[in-house]
Amino acid sequence: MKRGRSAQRKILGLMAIGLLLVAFGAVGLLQPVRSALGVVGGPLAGWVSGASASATNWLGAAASIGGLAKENQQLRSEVADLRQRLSQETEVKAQNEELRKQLNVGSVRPENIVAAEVIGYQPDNFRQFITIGRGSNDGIQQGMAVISQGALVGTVQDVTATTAKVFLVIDPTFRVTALDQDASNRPTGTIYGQIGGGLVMDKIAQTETIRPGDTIVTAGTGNDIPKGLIIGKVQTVERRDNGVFQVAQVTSDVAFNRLEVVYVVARQ
Amino acid sequence: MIPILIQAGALLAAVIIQLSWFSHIRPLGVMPNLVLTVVIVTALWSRATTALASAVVCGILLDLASGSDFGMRTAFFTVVVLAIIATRQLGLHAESFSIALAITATATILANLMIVLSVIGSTAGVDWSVVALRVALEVLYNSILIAILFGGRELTRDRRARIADELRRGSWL
Repeated sequence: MKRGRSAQRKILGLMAIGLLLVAFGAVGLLQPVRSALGVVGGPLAGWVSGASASATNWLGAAASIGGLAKENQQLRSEVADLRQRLSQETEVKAQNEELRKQLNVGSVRPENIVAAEVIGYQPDNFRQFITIGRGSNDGIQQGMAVISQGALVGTVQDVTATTAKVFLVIDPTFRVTALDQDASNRPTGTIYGQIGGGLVMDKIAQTETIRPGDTIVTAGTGNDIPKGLIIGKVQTVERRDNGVFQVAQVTSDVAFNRLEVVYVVARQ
Repeated sequence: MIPILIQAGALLAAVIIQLSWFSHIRPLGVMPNLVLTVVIVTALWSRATTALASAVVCGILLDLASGSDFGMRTAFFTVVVLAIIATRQLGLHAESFSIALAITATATILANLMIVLSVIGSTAGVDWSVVALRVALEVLYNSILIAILFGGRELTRDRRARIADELRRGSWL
């Protein structure tokens, strides 16, 4: 009888501790614990993540003939980088034209880029976050844009001294204002993440013409995300006869579940 | 002391593997939930207090590592463990593999449903066929993990019994 009561007390005590921890975490009181875990667990998680990525890559390369998979990945990365450069060139050209009209418009090209290793992923299949091995000690701040393989990956959400959480563009609650770089009027819309990892560009005016294959880039509204970062390409466009807006499905070339290194774009 | 350290080490390893390794080996884009399966088997095989402590520790660690919904995993794991403890008190056969499979499938579906419902108001729309497919795959993967954990337990049963006996007799050094 006594033993039963003692177990009940222990269970109630553990539940109370759990509730207190959740309450403390919800109001941000566990931030020092999170930072400490980042400092202690970051290198270990980075090592495990790196080893896992190496093992996965090795298996992939072994399955292909003569390391074709690795070469293909390098070529893809190069193509993505070139695309990003081309996109920025197009953006610069458009800016130059605009600058000729209005001489006081500033440049939006990123000046500082910090490379960061991906050390952890979101522990479920529907939300999309990653943890990177750089933090406030490296100048990382909340809201900064993160790119990889020549395209926007997400934005920095939480920062500790040595780690940061990145809110991925494919998360179902992610939002960013974007524009169609190839359309004549450069129509804008809002990019949303979708459950399952896809992207949707919504809020595009019905009067605008947007075509499959067009490149979608960030519109640069606000101070954090620079203008002209590639988000993806339009796959399909859905025009609703009675709707105010049209909707486009956008696909990104980024392999979000294989990210190993990302680049944080510092504020200008 | 040694069993507690082994248990704590196993839980920590499960959390680290979940956060780093499993993200790289996502068959068909879906990763299994190792921590959930470990919490379930702990609730089935261990004492109530050990199971509850495991749920709180694993939940807090995942919540701290996660970028969203702080407290959701701690609350969910605690509820799962309490439900298992309650059903064990009602006479649930904790050694049954089929019961473990049923609990894992139910908990996996509920865990994913909770996450999807938490984002439903702030997303452009939910493709329920995608959700169903992903949840079904995760149920399959988690069932495989449960089978591995049960298999491992069966294979080491004699050895564990011998160690427990030695510990009881005080000859373990």
